Amino acid sequence: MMLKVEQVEKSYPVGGLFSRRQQQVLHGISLECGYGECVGIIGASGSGKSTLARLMLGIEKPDRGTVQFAGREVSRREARGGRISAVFQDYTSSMNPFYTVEQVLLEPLRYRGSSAEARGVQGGVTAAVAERSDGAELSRVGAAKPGEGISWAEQQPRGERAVIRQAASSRGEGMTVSAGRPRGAGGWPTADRQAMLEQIDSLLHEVGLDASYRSKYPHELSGGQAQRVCIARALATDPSCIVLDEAVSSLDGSVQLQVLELLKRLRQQYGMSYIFITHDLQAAAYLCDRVVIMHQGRVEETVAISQLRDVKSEYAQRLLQAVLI
Amino acid sequence: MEQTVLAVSGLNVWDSLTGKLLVQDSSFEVKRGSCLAIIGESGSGKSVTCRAVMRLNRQALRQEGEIVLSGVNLSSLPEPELRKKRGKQMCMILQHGMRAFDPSCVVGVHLRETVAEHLGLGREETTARLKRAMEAVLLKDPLAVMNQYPHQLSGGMLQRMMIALALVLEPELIIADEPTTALDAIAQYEVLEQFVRLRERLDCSMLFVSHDLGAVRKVADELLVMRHGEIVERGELQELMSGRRPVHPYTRELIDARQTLQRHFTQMMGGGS
Repeated sequence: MMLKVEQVEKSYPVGGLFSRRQQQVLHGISLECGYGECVGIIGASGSGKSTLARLMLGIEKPDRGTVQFAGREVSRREARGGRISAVFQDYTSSMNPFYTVEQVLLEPLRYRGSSAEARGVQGGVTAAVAERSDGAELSRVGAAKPGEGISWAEQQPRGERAVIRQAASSRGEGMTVSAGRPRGAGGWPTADRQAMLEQIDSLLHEVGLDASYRSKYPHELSGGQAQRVCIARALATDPSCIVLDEAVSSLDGSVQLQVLELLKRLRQQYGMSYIFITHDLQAAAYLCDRVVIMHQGRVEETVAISQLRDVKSEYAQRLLQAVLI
Repeated sequence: MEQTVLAVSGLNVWDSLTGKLLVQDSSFEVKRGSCLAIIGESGSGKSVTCRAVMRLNRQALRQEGEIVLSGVNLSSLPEPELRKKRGKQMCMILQHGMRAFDPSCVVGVHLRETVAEHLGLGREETTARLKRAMEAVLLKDPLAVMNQYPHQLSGGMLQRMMIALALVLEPELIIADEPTTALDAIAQYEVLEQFVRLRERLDCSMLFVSHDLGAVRKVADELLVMRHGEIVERGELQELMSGRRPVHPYTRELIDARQTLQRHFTQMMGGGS
């Protein structure tokens, strides 16, 4: 199983600032999603769908229970390693308004670049630091385990990180050693930058936009275009799973269908899996293999799309009835 | 009594700061007892049109054009006169119930104040009427609901409260600006049901704005499609949906998108059952 949620419970504090009251949002949720599968999560507002999404993305930790991604705890960054990404409902607030589309897409690419090169660069770092005639440095480098080049460099105090970076760059490794805080594209070696721009173009092409969008700012994009950029950004890290939290709900009729078709095509092409969270049963039926119906923090029913008409629970039947035909 | 409740002609709305034209030469009529729906993508000028009718756009937006409500020209009416008409003769139902009610007091205060202002009834009579209206929109235990703050109620409940308020005020025209967009499927269904029944009860006219063709189909008689501030399509809803006459490509696209999703869903549900 790729994503496995087991007996998850989550509660949030409610009431005033000093109130100790807790409201339980999720009550023992369990669900699974295999590789290449598309699971829809359906429920009314306040049923805990978005909380579940945040837990699956590892942004928050459950109070009880586990969320595992490829057999490891998802809240650990190295377990995710860019293999799980997200698209949210509010496309305007999910992009930095000061970034152009190019900068928006560059960030995940850089992350992917740094994690992919981790192993390759590690030798460089070790050698570079070892060049200093400093016994302490040498012994510490020795302590770093193979394959941990990046995380080790990251863990060092700020001053030493600069030294490592300097040492590495003097050997022509570029700044890939320390990912640090991503900034403008200025400090990048031109060859890398060119390759990444090409990648950005192909990503934009993938979601049906052309290279001219690279220099645009989020406010210049329409809702559909902005959501496409968000999807491109989610694709950039080459994920095996994308969590779509109401990704099409705020788009208008015809645009909604276009984005749904785009998601369908991307899935066939890359064999990703989706966790598709929505309150729109018709959209879920269009995209998903299986839907999980949630009601007040509990899983009401899990049903394959082809068996949707045979739902048993009362709530699910009401939901079907409410679909406007 | 004439046949049209609201007649808008040559309405232009523009932003005085940037000079951008938001609504361009828009003219339409709402017939007595019928429901006109405006659909279009976000930013196409639907909400601006609605607010222009009520003259509730923010200061920077200027408007010109004739807006006639039951023979009275609203665009030349002084503000205090218009205030009396808002709520009493035309009632607006907004997208976000949370924002429509005053968050600092219980909803009952807001409801009573509005009813007292427009109808000038005593406290008991007001409460009795509100109670009846709220029961009519299937809100259980109206008195308890009236003593709650907006944040304690769900979106669907707040939306139904606004419909209840409209029931009490009995306006000639109801302007509903995306009333179901912020709601989930079940609440949406319930609120739409109430809209249909509201029309049956009051026999009022309605201007219904939405981007969801499914919701529009349930309540509207006539359809207006807006795009980039212009009206690109108008006509009887049934006629447009059935494809009996050629339509603007954009309208076609909207209808097709809806039908594709629907067809898929019906197939999943086992073919037309």
